[in-house]
Amino acid sequence: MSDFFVQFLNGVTIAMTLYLIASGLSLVFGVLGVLNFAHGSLYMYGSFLLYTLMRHVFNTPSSFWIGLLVVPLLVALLGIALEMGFLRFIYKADPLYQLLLTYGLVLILSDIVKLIWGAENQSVSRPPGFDGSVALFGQLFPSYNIYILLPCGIATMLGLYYFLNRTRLGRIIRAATQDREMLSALGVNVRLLYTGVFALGAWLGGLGGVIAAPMGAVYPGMDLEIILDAFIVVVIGGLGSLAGTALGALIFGLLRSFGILFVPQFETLFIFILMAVVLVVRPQGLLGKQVTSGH
Amino acid sequence: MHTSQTISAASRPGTGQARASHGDRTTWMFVALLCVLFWVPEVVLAMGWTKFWITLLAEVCIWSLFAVAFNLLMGYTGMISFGQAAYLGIGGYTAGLLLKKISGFPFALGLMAAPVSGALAALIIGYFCIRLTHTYFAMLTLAFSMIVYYIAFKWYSFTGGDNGLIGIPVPAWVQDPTFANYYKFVLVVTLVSVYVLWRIVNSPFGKTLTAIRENPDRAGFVGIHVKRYQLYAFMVAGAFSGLAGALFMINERSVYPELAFWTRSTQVLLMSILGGVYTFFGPIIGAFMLQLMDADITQDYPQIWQLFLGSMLVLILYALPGGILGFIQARDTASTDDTATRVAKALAEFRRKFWYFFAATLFFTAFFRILQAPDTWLTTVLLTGAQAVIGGFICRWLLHQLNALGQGWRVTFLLFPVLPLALHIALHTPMSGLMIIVLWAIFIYHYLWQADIRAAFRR
Repeated sequence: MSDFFVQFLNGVTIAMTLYLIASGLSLVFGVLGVLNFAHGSLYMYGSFLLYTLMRHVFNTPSSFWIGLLVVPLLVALLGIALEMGFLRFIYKADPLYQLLLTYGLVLILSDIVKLIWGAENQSVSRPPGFDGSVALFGQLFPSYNIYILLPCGIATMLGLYYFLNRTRLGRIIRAATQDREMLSALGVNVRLLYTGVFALGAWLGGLGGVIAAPMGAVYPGMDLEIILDAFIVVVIGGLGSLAGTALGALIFGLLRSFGILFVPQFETLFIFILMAVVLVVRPQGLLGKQVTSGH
Repeated sequence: MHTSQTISAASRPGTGQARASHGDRTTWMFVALLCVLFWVPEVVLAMGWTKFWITLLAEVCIWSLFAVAFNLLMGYTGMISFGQAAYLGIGGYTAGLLLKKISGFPFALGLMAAPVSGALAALIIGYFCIRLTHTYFAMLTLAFSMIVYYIAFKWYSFTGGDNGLIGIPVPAWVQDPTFANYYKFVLVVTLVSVYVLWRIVNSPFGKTLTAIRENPDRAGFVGIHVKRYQLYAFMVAGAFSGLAGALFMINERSVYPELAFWTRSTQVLLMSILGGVYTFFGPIIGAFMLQLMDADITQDYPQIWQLFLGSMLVLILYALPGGILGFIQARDTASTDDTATRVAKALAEFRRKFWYFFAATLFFTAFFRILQAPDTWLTTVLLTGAQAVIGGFICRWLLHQLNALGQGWRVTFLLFPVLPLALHIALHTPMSGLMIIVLWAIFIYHYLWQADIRAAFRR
């Protein structure tokens, strides 16, 4: 039984990291209709900016907390630059041309990372007080995962839910997913709204990068690795649905953690098979709305 | 904003008139290409160049085949697959496994099994994929290609896992040290396959696919079974991609899971976009450019290759959504234009595009020369400036002469590309720079060889 809980907790850990990243991807797709390949790059920039901040600017492990506040904002600024410089001009184009444009951005951003930070693996230390481990169910867990990752993930989930469902701005954003022309006619600056939503998505990606950085290595190439996982999560859950993204992340995390237990080596294969099955049986995803011809 | 939709239907293949009468000419072009390209290894060896060029050309051939097959889906049928590399992998592994696991298995049969397996896999995968459209179609093809990749990657006992399948026996005649035979073999297979694909897209079947791309609903209304035709297109693309996979296998005498990795699918997508998705030969130009530029840049500056590639992609998507060949072929004609208007319009376009090519040649030759010899960047910049001024004046004067519609000036223009080409060969500009000049030449020939323009000059 304790084995089960251990794997369950591992799965939830994976799910939380993925939710932080995939929620931004899903939000941007839901509102802007752009499946943003470059979202993984924003995540990578979050990690690398945290690395610079902790190693070169402050040089203390406790500067993680500053990074947690500042870095996602910096990534959001990068997101605003990308939206205003590139994406803004192609909202009316074929969705696949948008996908290709963001893929071009992935290529550009990944080489800029190598030019700035080099091609080596870097690492970021955990904040003081959270570098030990906690015993749960007779098993040791990194206290960082329990006390920082999980609360941050849950807070983001609740925060996004509250923001989108209970605030005026959230209502406007949800309206934008339905009918942008009507929204524009009602006097909402849709252009600004799109920039804002993209910035929020980038902020979430940056936050994911910051929180994931102390858990593993920081390296060029982490963008492509994470973006495929994030694609799977949003496809399983339903493109554009945040509740679906949470469910997709949970399924992904549990499948991976229990997969390692039962079918080692083939767990990734099962995740892709699940993605294919979901797309065949229910293309809009588990919690997605009916597919429209637009996307 | 220019997007794919802004390309007028008339500039897309299959919708233009007078295609059929060009059919014979294209057949002869294939024969001529085969005759010329067949002797490239002899020239390379005789000139004492490295055999690197032979292997590079062979690789370009395989990529061209793969890209043209892929473009049957993307450009002609309008289905953008993000997982075309799956069939590359399936073809490569089928041929590789047959040759390796069954001793004495005939080489030719192993090779022929590749397209068959590619088509079969496409039948199974396509059966599910064609139900979806747009982003969902792209995602499902991506998922299937990753399934193929992980099976090859993890099934150690059968595929060798990430170590790959190595030491595949191929006939002795393929493995000569200069790679000349291998190149010739690949060239013949590629040209024959591309020719078959050319016949396919110009057959009633190909026209049906174009109709489906333009408007699936209307195609359905006139009685076309849209999904079935999409599945056929998927299978044809899968078959030729499988063949390309087998050719990759012969090159390295081994197969690795990377053959089916999704970044290969995006690479072939880039080639098609770069060359022009709404043209038949565009993907081949894209394959040439990408491989040549890759060779030139990666050699000394591997760290900026993706930066360069990404910038090219973004630039193409914004500035030339029809790709390079699409840009060359795009013509602004209305059905109400009389001959004089058509010729005047064509000459105006010719002038405008000529300057684009002039600027692009200056920029890219300078760019690649600076990459090759960063120390002499000042000389290169000054030299480019001199070319811009002197060449600019010469070209302005020449373009002005074209107004007189004299036959002599037309011939002068046809011979014109020799000038920059000779200059840059003398300056040792890398191949990618020369490639731009070759594209310039293709552009000039395309315009001045058109029937109405020729007739106008003959008066």
